[in-house]
Amino acid sequence: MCRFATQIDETDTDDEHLNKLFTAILRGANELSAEITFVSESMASCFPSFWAVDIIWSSCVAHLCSEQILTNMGGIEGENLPNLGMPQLLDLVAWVENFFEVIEENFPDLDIPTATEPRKFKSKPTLLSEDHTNIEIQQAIDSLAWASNILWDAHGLGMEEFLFRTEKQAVELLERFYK
Amino acid sequence: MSDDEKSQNNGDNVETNADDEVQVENPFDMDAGMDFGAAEKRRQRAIRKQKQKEAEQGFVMDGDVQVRKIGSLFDDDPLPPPRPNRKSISAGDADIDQEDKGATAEEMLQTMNEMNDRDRERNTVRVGDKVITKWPYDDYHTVQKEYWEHALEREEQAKLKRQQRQDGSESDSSVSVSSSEGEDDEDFSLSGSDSSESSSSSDSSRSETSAERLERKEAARRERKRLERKARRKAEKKRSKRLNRDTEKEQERRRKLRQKALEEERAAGLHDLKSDIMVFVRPQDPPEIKQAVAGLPLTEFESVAKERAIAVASTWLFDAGLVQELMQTKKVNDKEEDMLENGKKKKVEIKILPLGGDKKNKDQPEKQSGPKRTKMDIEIEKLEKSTRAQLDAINVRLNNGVASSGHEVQELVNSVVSTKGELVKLRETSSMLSNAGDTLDGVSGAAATQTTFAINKYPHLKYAINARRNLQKCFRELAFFSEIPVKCADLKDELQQAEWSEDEMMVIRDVCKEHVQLDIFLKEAEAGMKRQQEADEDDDDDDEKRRRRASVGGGFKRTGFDVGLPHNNDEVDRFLKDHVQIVLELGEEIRQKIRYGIGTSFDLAFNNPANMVALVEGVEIYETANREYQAVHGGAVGFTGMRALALAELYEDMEARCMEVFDNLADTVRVILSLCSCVFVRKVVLTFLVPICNADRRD
Repeated sequence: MCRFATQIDETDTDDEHLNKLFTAILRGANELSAEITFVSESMASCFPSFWAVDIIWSSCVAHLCSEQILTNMGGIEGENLPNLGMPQLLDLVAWVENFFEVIEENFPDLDIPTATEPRKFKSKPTLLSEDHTNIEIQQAIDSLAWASNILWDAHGLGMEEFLFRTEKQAVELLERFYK
Repeated sequence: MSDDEKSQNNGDNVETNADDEVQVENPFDMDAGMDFGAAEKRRQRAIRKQKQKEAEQGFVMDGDVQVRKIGSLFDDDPLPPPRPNRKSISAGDADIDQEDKGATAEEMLQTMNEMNDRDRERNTVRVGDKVITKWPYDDYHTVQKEYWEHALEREEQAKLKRQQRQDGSESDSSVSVSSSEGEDDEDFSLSGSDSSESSSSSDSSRSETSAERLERKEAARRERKRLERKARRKAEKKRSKRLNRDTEKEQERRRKLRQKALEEERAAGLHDLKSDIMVFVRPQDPPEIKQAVAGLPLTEFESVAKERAIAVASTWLFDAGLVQELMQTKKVNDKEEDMLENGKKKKVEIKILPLGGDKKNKDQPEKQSGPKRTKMDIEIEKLEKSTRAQLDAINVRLNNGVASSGHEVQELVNSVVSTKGELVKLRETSSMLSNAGDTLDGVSGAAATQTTFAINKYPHLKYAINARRNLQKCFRELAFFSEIPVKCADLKDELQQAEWSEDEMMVIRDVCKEHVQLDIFLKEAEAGMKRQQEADEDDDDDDEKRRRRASVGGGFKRTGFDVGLPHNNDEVDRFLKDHVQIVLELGEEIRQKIRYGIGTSFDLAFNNPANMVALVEGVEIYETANREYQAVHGGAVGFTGMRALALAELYEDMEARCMEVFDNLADTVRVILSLCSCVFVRKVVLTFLVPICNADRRD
């Protein structure tokens, strides 16, 4: 109850609600991406290598996070981005960069293709083989690459929006200054 | 001058005359240059001259009279001669008249004479009429005194003899002073026990007076004493000579020993050759007994033991600081001899004690007795104790080794017996092998034919031979088959008991192993029975043909041989159905457990990785068994989807975990938004609840 109560503010508006939701999503995404290191370092050693637990987990995280972020930023075009605040935009950019760093640290040999079909993994990717006895590693890598591309697009949009607003604020400031 | 003084002066003069006489005959005339009589005369002459000069020159005694002892050898006499009376000879006395001058000089001379006499008396010894000057540095004058006493005695004896001869009496042979026997006889005669002497010398004894006899006895006693002294002196001289000789020899011997030890040490490199100071280097510690005896042949044991003993003793000497003592004192040699003797004794005493050690010896305290203990003794005792402790430890280990080797020998015997049995079986089996020359010719064919059985040509006979073994196998498998329901029930109980326990996943892995065996067994049984059924059907066809061919003879019918056994695949399935069902149920239970375990894989991997690994191993057991079964029989076991199940569950669990995070956040935000939409609730929360929550956080 306290958790909810402290997040209520008298000056809350719809945009601010959206910002809070986006911040919460980014916080959740941050938690999940932090667990990638744990899975690849501690958990994967308990399983046979061909189970590829770390890749499955990374793929899941990338897929779900990208899906959530896309939903809240207004799709792949980023329609809701102008409604987000500057901190949210900065958080988005920072999280995407952090996610790529984590992926590079844990899978240095993983070659993520950049040119993949953007719509290919809109639905849940099937990482298991037909008889479910093996992991389709390539499928998992493709899923990870798709999610990464989506996130990188979101990163670009967020960066663009942030720069635009910074430029706008700078212009306003200069106008005020020259007036 | 009084009469006494005059008589004394006269006596002195007599004495000086006697001195002159004695000095002529004295062989020990060491003071020959010190003629006291001449000195006295010279002195008186000088005094007289002085008087004459004084008389001529009108001398007045106004100064100290310089009196000098002429010829005196006693300048450093501890008792200085009394000084002349200052009053009587004082030269500063103004009251002295010129008339009294002659009388004063006489008095002075008298005083000086008295002084000289007193000095002479003090510093001389009289023997009869002989005067012997006391020798200030040693007791030589006593020797002179004894000599003169002896000489006087002899003189007296000679006088007595001469007198006796003059008296016409025969010489008495018993009065021989130099003979000890004579002395004894004399003693006897004194005691009055010897009657023969008195009878034989009755004439002489009559002639001798009692005074003469006493003198004779006295002289004999003196002679005896003299001889004793002479013998003692001689013995003392010899002893001193011997002592000197011994010490020289001893010193020589020690010097040689030191030189020898030095050379040995130089050869051993114990100290630096360039330096004169001996610097001892500590020898290396001997290796431990374990290392020393490792791989040591028995023939070299004694030499290695000797080297080890030397190393132990040398390190001990160095550590205890006994090297100098060993090098410099003779005592060590004695101690070493004692040690060697003790060592020999102790070597004899060493024996293999019974297990548990020799309690009697341990209980007895060691008694220390004898003279004062030196450092060497203490160190030797310590070394002895430590060595004894080591020997006890080795003894115990040897006993343990002997005891354990008994068991090993027994095991070896058992192995030999079992090997003999195996050899018999091997011979029986090898008799079935065909001979090399039976089938193929040449040596090359021998090796090829050794691996083929001679009964290969006769398959029915082969079946007969293998029948016994097959029957045993059949019975064993039948027993296992009948126990499948019980076994499955036990495994289910095991799974239930291990539920929520720490090692649940390990139990699941063990149950998986058992389950796989059961599954494979049923599969093999089904496949084998169906195959046998097909073979029987083929055989039935052949028999039918034969029966038709030999219908005249009546033939043999398979009546009731295979009654109760399934005759087709449906019957086989029906026969195995119950057991298969039981095994499947167990498999389902295991599947549920695995699904649950995989669902909690994050917690398991974080809190108990061993359980996680055991669960994955349990899953992989099925996959491995399925692969092996496919390789052997070509089919698949009942449970083949455990890994698929696990992977699917894991994937779903991961997705669910991700979704859970976002769902929770979304729910939270949704609640917040709904609360914000209600103005009243919003105001209440902002007024009351938020300050309380903030206050709690601050606390």
